[in-house]
Amino acid sequence: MRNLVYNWVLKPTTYGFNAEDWPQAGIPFSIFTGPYGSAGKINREPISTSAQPRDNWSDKQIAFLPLVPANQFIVINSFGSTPGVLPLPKRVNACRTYRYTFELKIPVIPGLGQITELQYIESGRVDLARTKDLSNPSAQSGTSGPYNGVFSNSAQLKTILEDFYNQFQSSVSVSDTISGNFRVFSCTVDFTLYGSTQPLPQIVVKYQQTSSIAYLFGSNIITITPTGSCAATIDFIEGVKPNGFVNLTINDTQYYEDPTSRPSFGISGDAAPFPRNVGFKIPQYELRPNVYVLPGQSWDVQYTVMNDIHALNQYLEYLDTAPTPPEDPAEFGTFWKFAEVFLSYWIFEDAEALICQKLVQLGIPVLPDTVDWYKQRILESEGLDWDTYEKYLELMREWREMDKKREEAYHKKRGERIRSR
Amino acid sequence: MAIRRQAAEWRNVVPQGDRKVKPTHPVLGRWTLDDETAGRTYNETIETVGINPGDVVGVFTGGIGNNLMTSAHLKATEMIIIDSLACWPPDASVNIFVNSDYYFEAPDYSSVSGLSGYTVPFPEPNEQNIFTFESFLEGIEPPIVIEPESTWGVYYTVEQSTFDGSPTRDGQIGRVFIKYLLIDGADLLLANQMKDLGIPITWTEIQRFRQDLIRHGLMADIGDEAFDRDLIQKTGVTTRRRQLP
Repeated sequence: MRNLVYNWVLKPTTYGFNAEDWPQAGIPFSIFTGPYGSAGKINREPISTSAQPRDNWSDKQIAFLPLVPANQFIVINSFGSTPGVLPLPKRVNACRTYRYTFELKIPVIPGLGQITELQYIESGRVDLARTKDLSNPSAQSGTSGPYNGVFSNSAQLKTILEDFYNQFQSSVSVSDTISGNFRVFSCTVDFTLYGSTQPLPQIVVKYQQTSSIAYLFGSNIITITPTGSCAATIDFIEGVKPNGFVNLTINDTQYYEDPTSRPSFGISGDAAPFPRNVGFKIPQYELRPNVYVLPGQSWDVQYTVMNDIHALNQYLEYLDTAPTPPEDPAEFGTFWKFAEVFLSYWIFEDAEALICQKLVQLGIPVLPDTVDWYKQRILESEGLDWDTYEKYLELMREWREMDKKREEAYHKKRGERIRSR
Repeated sequence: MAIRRQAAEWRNVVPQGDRKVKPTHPVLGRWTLDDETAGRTYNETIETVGINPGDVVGVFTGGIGNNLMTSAHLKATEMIIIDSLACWPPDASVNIFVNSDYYFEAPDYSSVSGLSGYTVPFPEPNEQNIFTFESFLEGIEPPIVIEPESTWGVYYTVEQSTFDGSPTRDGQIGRVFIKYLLIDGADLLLANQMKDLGIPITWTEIQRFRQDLIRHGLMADIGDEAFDRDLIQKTGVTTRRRQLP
């Protein structure tokens, strides 16, 4: 038996507002197989010996709805989701353009330089492109990248930098001047940021001054690690609440319905919040009794967002273009956590799944405790004839007494801080 | 799904221009550009309907907030056990009615507004840091049983006029939360039997009662078997007693 969790997260990390990243309001979707958030299908790195064969929750995706096989028994224990009702956005003034300025110097004669490596670092992840090392022209190992990095004028250097950095939403400008025996290239790389919480990019440029002296003394690679600064700011709209509801589905039946027996969206994030912050005592809603998913049944957790994020973006776009906008223009921010659903469940397998079936038949709740207890009883009575009714009666009597004592002790310990029903 | 833990939530928040939305919660923030020259701020697309002291609002069909298509009426095969109520703001109150009777009433049996948000706030935590009163931490004790074919509902009243306009905080929204057990199918038969025997109907008690029934069934089978043995000895008939015509 295992106590498993599933944590669905919607935190778009693409640049700008992409409609396909945001759910349509009022339309339920699966947190397992839906197209949004960590359930959305994205290209993944292939599993290899050098990469861990697992994803964090922000990249988690599963291909099909969970179907309980014949040797399993699932008990859904609890769930929670992001609380909040009103879609009131937070207006955060933050950096829009992050600028790096640096200089590259090469001797006027012969007037050639070569970029040997460009790095882009964000949240510790390094993207890089390397070029052939001119000090060792025959070397092939470690070479990659679409260009050889050689430049003699600002246009060539600009192309080299753009080829790499433009994939990270940047713009590049390069100018050059003569200073003594050196040609000095002044470079500016501007990165566009799309949210106040977007990690600031870092860059590293390695280049080589090509000259006869450089050839004589071998490699003379110079590493530049420029310091960036914010060149422009903008108001980002972030922190919108999802106003979401969680529903459970077993096969094609929805668990929650309204008082008129019509299907409902389920339980709101305010009734069963996740995460639980300071001041939280007990949830208004708890899934008691638990939900059993029997072998052969499929199950799903559906989430419905009731705040219209697409409309908010349209409004922001209008602010940018309206002749007399009622509010200051702003940009829809990304890189912030919009919604989250947390699910906790038990999975019982093989012999324990059979015990679960037996417990259901005996009217005993299926919990790790009861399964363990029943297993112990089986082991203790090894060799006895289990078809006798007396044994079942004895088991049920024992369970009743144990349950009663446990409940008394539980109440004594927890006092009034529980809702047992 | 014989016993299901259900919940209903009412919120006094609707798109601008609507007093009520059916049959479920409305989509909020659906900004539409109805006047390009004047513009329209984002928050103004959402509003709460003002409720005055003395107004009694039915949360299911009262014409304010998210409403149901019809009143809540239980089928002959359904029973409901309401074991938790909560509301907001703190000076709001909720009272359950079943058919023509109110659940909460004064010591002299006159009508009262019911449980207040100071006693059972929703949600927790909330902006005023009010927590559920101790005696209601485990819900309503004993729970409210609503029998099959009954009509039930929840009335919401306020002591002071509620916020009327475009809310800027969740705390400005009037709310009601009802948690209940929906019992149907075979478990309804158990619940009916328990009611006849005077046993409180909660899911733990139903579970125990179900165990008892299974135990009694097993005991009956044991007695049956002993009787069968006597019958076989006396008559030579090998058919079990319960299978005899």
